[in-house]
Amino acid sequence: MNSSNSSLNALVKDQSKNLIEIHNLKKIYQLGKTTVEALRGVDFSVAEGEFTVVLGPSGSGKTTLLNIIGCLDRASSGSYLLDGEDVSNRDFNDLAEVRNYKIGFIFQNFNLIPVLNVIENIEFPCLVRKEQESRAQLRERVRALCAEVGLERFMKHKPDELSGGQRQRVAIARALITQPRLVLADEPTANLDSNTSDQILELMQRLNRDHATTFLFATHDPRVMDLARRTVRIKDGMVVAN
Amino acid sequence: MSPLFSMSFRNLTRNRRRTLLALGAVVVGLCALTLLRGFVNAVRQAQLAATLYGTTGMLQIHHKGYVKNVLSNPLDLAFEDSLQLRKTILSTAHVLALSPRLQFSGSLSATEPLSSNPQELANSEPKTTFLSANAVDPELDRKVMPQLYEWVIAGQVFTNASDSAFVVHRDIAGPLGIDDISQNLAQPKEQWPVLLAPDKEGALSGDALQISGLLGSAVPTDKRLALAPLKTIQRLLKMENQITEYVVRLDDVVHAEIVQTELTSRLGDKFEVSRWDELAPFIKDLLSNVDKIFGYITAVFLLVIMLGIVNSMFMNVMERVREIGTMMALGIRRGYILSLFVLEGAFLGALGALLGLSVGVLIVFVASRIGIRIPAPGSTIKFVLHPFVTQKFLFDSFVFTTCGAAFVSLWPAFRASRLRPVEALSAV
Ligand SMILES: Nc1ncnc2c1ncn2[C@@H]1O[C@H](COP(=O)(O)OP(=O)(O)O)[C@@H](O)[C@H]1O
Ligand SMILES: [Mg+2]
Repeated sequence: MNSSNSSLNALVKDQSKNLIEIHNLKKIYQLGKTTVEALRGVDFSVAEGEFTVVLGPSGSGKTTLLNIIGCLDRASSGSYLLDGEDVSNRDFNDLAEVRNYKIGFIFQNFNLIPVLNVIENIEFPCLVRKEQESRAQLRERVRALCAEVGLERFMKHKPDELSGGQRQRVAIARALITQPRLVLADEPTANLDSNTSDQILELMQRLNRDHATTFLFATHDPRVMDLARRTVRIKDGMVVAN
Repeated sequence: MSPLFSMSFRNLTRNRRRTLLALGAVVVGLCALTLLRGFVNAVRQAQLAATLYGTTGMLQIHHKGYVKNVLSNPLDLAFEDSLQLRKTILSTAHVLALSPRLQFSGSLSATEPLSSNPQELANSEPKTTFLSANAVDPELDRKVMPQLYEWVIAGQVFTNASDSAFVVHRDIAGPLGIDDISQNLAQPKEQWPVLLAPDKEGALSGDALQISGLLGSAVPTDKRLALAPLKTIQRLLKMENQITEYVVRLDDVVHAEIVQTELTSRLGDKFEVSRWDELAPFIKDLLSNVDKIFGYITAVFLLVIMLGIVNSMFMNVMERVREIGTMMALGIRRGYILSLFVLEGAFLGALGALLGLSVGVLIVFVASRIGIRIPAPGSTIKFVLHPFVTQKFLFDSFVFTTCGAAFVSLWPAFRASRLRPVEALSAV
């Protein structure tokens, strides 16, 4: 559990091994005549398999950063390499494919699709792919993942029949079903009580270990820091401690 | 398989009230359209039947030049009603029956003054009136023009071509004071009205005839129309065996054109064969105008329905912005979002059309069984309408509504697919 050690290891390793490579990243929002500088030159990298917490107060730019990393938004300037690739000039459908194959998302308010049940929500990202595995195989993986996140008994439930913690478990399973390289979790515990938060956090860490999937976890809750192997502190759009 | 279909369908059950409202507009619109179509079809059919079986018949055969000169003196172009001619006509394919007719004009005068009160007499209508009459053999004519005989609203038609009876329009009989049939039948011959008609040479011949029946009509027709016994009139006009036309009934009016061609070549140069739509072009125009007007009304209806669907689909998109953002984050392509909402619109249209058409057909069916009685403009007796719709109408309406709904949903669907992921995700 030595965060500085692991990040040091990542740095001494070949740079191209890093899953996320960010250099002098800026994001400026134009609000009428005023401009808001949400990111003011962020330098930051994440190695494959890491569990990283991005910690910062509300409004510090965590969501902005994660949106850029998640290929949902573009930076105003600076460079971002995902898995060694510059994705800044791809069109919508190309980025959709990158997101679908490489990135899993976990949101603060779960964002499950209300008309789909648990199984259907989890398998959804695989079903919108151009090339698909067999239905039976997919169902089998969904079932295994449900068991892993503790949802076996709720597979046929609709989201509105589940508690917050259960919903977030569905979201986690949905993020992992595509076997992504990176899971982005933006304040995934902010809508949960502390007990459930701890369980969710524990679950994510277990999955990080078992699946060797890289997790990037944004939060404003300093308590989470104790659980993380590596913490990146961010304030006013800049990394203040790594 | 993608969850596209089931998702689109299930999404309709989400905001039930809005779906029901949008659905309601489609259902009511298509139901109304079906009723209107059923009603228009019935009017159309009744008008066509009145023409084919009561006014012109399906085909008419005249001496060459008759149709052009009908206003001058039709008797000049009379021809002999021969067994040979009848055989030729009846042996032609699709011909079911024929009726020889002699069309003539004349005047009818009532012998009795209308009233003994001098003041009333002074103000009264003239007691002589002009007629444009058809002399017919009732037995044959009934088979060719059945509808005409249904328009006899009082008394009855003479049963024999040699009778001394006459059927005139009620609106003519009234002013002449001869519209009370039972009184007419009781009158001695000296009091019968007198028919005066010019023969070929223009010399007037007259005969007393009993008014045995009155004509009304369900469609606007010539009020001077009258029916007279063929043999009696032939005798009066000194035109034994002479007629001005054969009216021909076919097994189906769709064969009018082929039979016309066939008869024209069989009968030779002396005769001309005219179809109903050549004899009554205004009826044909009327019918096609009815179709045109119905077309416009349909277009307006569908436009309103489509506006309702677009509106509903826009609200749908706006309500689900964050969900769209989520799906985008999960890696959905733009085309998929487009399909999702287009399909949803199509389902809405299909469901609404199915319900609306079903209810409409049910009502049309019941209305048809009962029959709708409506006084037609300019007519003296009531139409009984039997609304109906064709399978083609139902199929077309269903397909058009479904495809139209899908098509107009492209607009909101396109807007949905063009949302920016970050903004969509941060929507409330
Ligand atoms: N779409 C936007 N338009 C304008 N300003 C924005 C927008 N999104 C974020 N911001 C601003 O950028 C800063 C960082 O926001 P955000 O990344 O959401 O922070 P955090 O997630 O850490 O709370 C804030 O000051 C916020 O007001
Ligand atoms: Mg945030």
